[in-house]
Amino acid sequence: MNYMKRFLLITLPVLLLAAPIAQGAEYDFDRAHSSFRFGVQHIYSTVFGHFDTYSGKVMFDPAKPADSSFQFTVNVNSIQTGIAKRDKHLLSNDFFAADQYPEITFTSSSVKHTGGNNYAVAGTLQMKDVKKDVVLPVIYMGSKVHPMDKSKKVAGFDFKLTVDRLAYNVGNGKFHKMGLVGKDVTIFASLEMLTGN
Amino acid sequence: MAAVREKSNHVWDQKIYFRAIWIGVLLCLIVAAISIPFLYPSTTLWYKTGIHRFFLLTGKITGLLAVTLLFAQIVVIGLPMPFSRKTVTRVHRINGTGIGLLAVLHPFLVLGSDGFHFIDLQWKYWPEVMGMLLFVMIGFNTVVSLWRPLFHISYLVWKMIHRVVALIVIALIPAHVLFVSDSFTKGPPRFGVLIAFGVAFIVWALLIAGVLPIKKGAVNS
Repeated sequence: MNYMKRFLLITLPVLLLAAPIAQGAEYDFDRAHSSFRFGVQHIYSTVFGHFDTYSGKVMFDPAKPADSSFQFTVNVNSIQTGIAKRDKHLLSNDFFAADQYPEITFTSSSVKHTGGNNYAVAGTLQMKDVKKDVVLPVIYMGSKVHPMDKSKKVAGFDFKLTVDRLAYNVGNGKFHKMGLVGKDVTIFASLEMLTGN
Repeated sequence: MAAVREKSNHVWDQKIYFRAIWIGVLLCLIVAAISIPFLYPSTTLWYKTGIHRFFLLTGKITGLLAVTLLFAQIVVIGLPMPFSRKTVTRVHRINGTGIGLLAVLHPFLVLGSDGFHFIDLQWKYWPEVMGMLLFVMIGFNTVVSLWRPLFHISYLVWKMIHRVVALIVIALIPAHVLFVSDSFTKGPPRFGVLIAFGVAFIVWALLIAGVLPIKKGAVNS
């Protein structure tokens, strides 16, 4: 019996410490090491930009994808393309109408494992007043105890998605018809997320 | 008697020539300024069509007209003019009221071109924010000068405030113009603004140093 007690006293703390690694966890953004970037064609070149401010939560368990969820909110006013005039134009009624629609949101409805490190995260993407069902092809980069803070767990997720901005009323198509601004926008997300923020 | 009359006619002719030159120079400056959006269109203008293009174009013209009249305001006070003190005073007042009106129209039209979308106060929009400050200062100077008795401000206090605010406006307006529009990143528009406000500063400095006498009728009445 004494032997059993000793065994439990030693193994239980180890098991408890290891639990967050093995189980699904709730993650917040490590904003210093995450980004929501986008690229859109302008005549011949691709103009890149990103959003500085965003928030959200990820519940993820690679073993139980059905119990996982992703939720992101991006602040449209934090758009950065390197040229203030262009940012102002993008926020105007010609594109995002950020006064009226200050957020872009994504809320998942299901997460499915599609092989290897790949997951199909289905959900609703809302831009302006348009909601559309999309599937994010998420690559799970892995998770581990944070090398610099042992009390936290870090996980990585990447995805790339191309959306038709005109389908979300981001612009009325006049610049596309003029051959200036492309209608397809590629969103690149590289997310490093932490537990216990 | 005939010689005196001839000399008097000669002086009168000279005055007319000088006046014509001054008015001609001012008109040339105005034409040069308002032609900038047409000759050196900003990239913002590329993306405006229809009524929004009209708003932006007229907004730019009103802004440039206000800047030119502001420059003229300083030069008229500072440099010797072939006009009577009364005329200079009248011109200063009318010009000042015009600058005030244009300063109101300019942001209204520019904002109208973006569907009255108001920007967030972010550092990257500092030229626009500076424009707002200038709008407030020019509006203040115009309103207080036109209706000083309503504000119960003594003449001496008003004079001091008027000059200080005018000096701040002259100091800030080149930065607003040069950085708010990419028409002014290089070439004649950029050099034009730098030269005009360099001259305005020199005139102002000479006025303060007492080298140029302030036309009492122009600013003290």
